[in-house]
Parts: sequence; C-alpha cells; structure tokens
Amino acid sequence: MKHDREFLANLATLRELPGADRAVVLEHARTCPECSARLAAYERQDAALAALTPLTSQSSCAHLLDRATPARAGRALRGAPVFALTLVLLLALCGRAVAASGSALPGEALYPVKLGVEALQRALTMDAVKRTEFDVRSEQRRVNEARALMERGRSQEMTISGELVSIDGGEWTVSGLQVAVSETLRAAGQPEPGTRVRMRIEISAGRAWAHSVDVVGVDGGRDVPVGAVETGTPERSRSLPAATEAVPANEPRVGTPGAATGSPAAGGPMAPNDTVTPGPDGPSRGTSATPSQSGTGATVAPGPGQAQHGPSGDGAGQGEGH
Amino acid sequence: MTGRPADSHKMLMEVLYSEHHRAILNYLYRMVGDAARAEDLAQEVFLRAFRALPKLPDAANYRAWLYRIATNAAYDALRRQRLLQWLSLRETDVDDSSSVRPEQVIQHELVQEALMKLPTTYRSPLVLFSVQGHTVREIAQMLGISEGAVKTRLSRARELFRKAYDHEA
Repeated sequence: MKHDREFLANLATLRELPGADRAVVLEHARTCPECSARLAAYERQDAALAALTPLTSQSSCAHLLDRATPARAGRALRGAPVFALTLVLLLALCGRAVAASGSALPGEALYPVKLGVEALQRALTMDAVKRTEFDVRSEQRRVNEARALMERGRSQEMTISGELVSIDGGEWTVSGLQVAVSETLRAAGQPEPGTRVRMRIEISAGRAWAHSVDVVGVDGGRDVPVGAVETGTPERSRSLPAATEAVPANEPRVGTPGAATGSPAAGGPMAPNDTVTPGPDGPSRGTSATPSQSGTGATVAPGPGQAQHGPSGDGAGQGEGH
Repeated sequence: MTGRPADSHKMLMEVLYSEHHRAILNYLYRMVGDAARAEDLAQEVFLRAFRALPKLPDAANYRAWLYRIATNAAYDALRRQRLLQWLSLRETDVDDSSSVRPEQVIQHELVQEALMKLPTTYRSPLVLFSVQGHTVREIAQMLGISEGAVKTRLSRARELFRKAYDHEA
C-alpha cells in the first residue's frame, strides 16, 4: 500500500475512520513494520497525552463579569502602569544623561547638557550669596575643564573667567591657569593683576592661548564686560606678520556706519571701554569681534559685550580710541 | 447581531463559562505550558468572548468560537514569549500533584516538554485531538481550517511529537 499523505493522515486519526477503512489500515499495518511502529507510537502518544493531569481553576465567572463591566476603566488602568513605566524610563534616561554630563568637557556631546543644568541650577538659586558662591564654583569648573583638555591633548576653544593673578611677560595666570597672551594683545592694553577678566582661549598642543581678553566687572553676580583686548591670532602665530592694531579714529566701522574707533595707548594700562582691533592674519573668533571686511584687518564690527555697546547702554564716546 | 438583552448575555456567559472554562483552561495550559499563564489567558478568553457576545449570532457554535479565541490568545502569548521553549513543568506547573506519584510527575513533564517543542500550528490540533478528545470535524471548526488540513497537521504533529518525546525520554 502506498504511504501517501492521505494514508498517513488516516493512520494518525485511526479512531475517526469508518469501520471498513479502519480495517484496511490495520490489515496493512500487520504486514508493514513501519506502519506498525507508527501505530504503536501513536497509541502510546494518545495514552501519555490523555493521562496529563488536568488543571483545576479557582476563578469564577462572577469575578470575570466584575472585571468585564467597567471595561473602559479597566483598559485605562491597564494602560496606567505602561505609562508610568515609560515615564520612569524616560526620567531615568534623562537622569543618566544629566549624570553623565557632569564629567563632560567642552566639545563633547553632553557638554551643552552640563551647561544647561548649571544654568538651571543658577536660576533656581535665589539667595544672592549662594548664587555668588555658585558662580565662583562655575568659574573654577571651567578652569578645571581647560586643564583637563590640556592634559588630554585636545584642541578646543572655550571661555574662562576669573581673577588675573599675575602677568609674567606673555604668560598670564587666570584663576591658576597659565594662558599665553600674544604681543598683539599685550600691546593693546594690560590690565592690572587683581582685575577680573574673561578670556576667550584656545586649548591646543597642551597649552592655552588667548584670543581675546575682556576686563569685566561684577553686576549682580554676573560678569559684565567693561573693556576688551582682542586678537584673532594666538601667540603661537607670532611669527606671522605683525597685525595692524589700530584703526584710524576717523575710519568708519564696518557694520556700524558713522561710528569710529581707535586703539588705546599701546602698552598702557587698560581702561574700561578700550577696544583694539585684530590683526589681518587670523579670524577673530572671540566673543567681541568679527573679521575685517576691508582687507586691511583694521576694522571690525563690535561683538556682543564689547565696549562700544557695553552694558552702560549710553554709547556716548564708547568705541572711540583714547 | 442578536437582540438579546444585556442580562441574557451575562446568563449565557455563565453557562458558557461553566461548560467550557475547564476545557479551555487545560487546552491553554497544554498550549503555553504554564498554569498561571493559562489561567490568565483563560480569563482573557472569556473576557473577550463576553465583550463580543452581543455581536454573535444566536445559532453560533459557541464552543468552536471559544476555542478559536483561545487558540489566538495562546498564539499571541507564545509569540510574545518566543514560544517559551525553556519552560519546564518543574518551575511552573501548579497541578495538584499530591495524589500523583513522582514517576508520573516526571512522565508528565516529559510529555509537556515534548509538546512544547512542537510548532503551535501542530501543537493545537494534537492537544485538541489526543488530550481533549475532540473529533477532526470539531477541531476544524475550532481552528477555522478544513478537515483535510486538520488530518494533515495531526499526521505531522504525531511524527514531530514522536521524535520529541523519544528524545525527551
């Protein structure tokens, strides 16, 4: 007999077969060892499966109908844990990102998160004394970040603030961090040690190079620029042609029609509202200048916080050379 | 859709529950291999059935309809759990085995483990045919397939079970 699909199906469902068909299959199985083995195996299967201990249930239909009646509420409640879990996961992820941002350095993906958290913390600090303490800690944190970048040999621009502790030629120390200051910058004006300064610096080759220096005052715990020294050329570019530092007093500024600027007395003590223009050999990447468009490098438009548009707001005489 | 009032739905559900709950529960148990999960699924099956009851024609085959819901629920649960092949009765079965001899418990474990090795499309007809004793025609109605397909699946299921059971034994 042919062991086709139909025959095998009949073998598997022997108990269902009508008497005559069943007799045919059994007759064949007597002479066919393969079918005989199958039948014996199926009988054992049926016995084993039928002998499985049945489960007994404790639940009742009344309980089920109780569950079924407030269907909407039930569905809403089933969704609640999912929502809560999602919220917890989201908060946990945010928390992890915030926690991880604590050690982020400038230029890293999480660094803006770190700054955002700091800004939020500062905004939530209502007490003036505590806020000042917070600002001092933030300043120190920036200096520490600069050090960490130097140690790791990374290149990165950033801004630091703090007290100008000492000046040793081209090496200025701000809050314990040594910064190389170019001749150009030094020629533009030199604040006295003890002055608070804000510096745009570039970390490179394990050193910090000054791009611009703002003399800042403190207003309500915030640094407020009151003067600026700036250059687009870090000291390591000193070998490049010297910058044209001053702009003729009567030359109009690009971007500020009608305004005029000049340079402070070279090497003299820097006074608030002083402005110096960058040299032509480097872009002005600081916060207080834009590159010259005249081709001479002699003119710049004032940047935010620069003396011409300082916080005093009157503008009278600001940006003029002294 | 029937014109049955809401109270009659509850009464009908109570009848269906008393007649079929135990069988459905055991079918689900053999399908998923876990007593607690089967209990939950059985509740879900009757809950779904109760909500769909108003839409069901009066002359419907309730048992086949319940089994179809149960089969879908089991498939969904198994799909979610990636077939739970690691599951063993030792960990999950809450049968009242105090009256069962230890060698019987072991035997039941082997049978269940062999069952769990079958693809769900073969497991369901075998459970319905050999564990629950349904006819091919009934199984065809329950699973929504032809009788020929049931017989073919049963034939294949028996061979797969034979290999799995011999391997387990």
